Amino acid sequence: MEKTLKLVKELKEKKVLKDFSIGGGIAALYYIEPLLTYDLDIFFIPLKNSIDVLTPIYRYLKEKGFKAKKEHVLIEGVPVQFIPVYNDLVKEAVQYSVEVKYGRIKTRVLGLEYLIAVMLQTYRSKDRERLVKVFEEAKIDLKLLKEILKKYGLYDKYVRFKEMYFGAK
Amino acid sequence: MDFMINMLDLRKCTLVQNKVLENIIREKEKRRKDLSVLSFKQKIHILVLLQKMARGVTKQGKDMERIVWLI
Repeated sequence: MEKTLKLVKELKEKKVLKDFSIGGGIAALYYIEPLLTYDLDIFFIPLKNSIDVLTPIYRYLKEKGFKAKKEHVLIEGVPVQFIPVYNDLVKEAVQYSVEVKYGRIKTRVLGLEYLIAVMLQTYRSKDRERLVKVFEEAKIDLKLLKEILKKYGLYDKYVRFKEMYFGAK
Repeated sequence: MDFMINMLDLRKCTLVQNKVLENIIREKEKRRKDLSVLSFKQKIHILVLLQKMARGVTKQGKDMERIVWLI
């Protein structure tokens, strides 16, 4: 895992991508109890806006001996999925990521409040499951969360979610 | 009268059961919170154990090429 994160970091250092952050299940796992997931999702801001933003990443990794298989690249035994930022919320979430340490490696994870907003936006069944755990187990900056949710039109959805799963606003 | 006593016993028994349940739920919550504050590395270690445990469990109609991470 350290080698995987080191290589992902290298993509930024070598200017293959502009910025990155761990999202998805592993970001949730950083804040709550361990949960089962199989992918390491890396949200990234590409260097240039083009149709095929994945090509430079896949090319760089191929040169290092790592090949893409379906939607993943297996890097040092970990299936990594590179996801370009697909809207303003995700882009801002990557920009305001928090730096965390995994062993000796420094990496970046989506901030908790942004992660909640992204999960509320995607709102798949697994997002709802994770959201329940996040609200039960993590320490959330509610002021910041409210600001983000209002900015991206997700506040009403959040209120509905809270009512549905916790019976309160 | 016997009926009343039985009802009271039943109520007591339910209350005791509720306390047991309450304890179980409280302890489970505590365990989840304890797990949530482990280091990132410890959590990834547990994740790999979960992946190993789930190996072989498949969902109907799903392509289950699941890779257990090498860490």
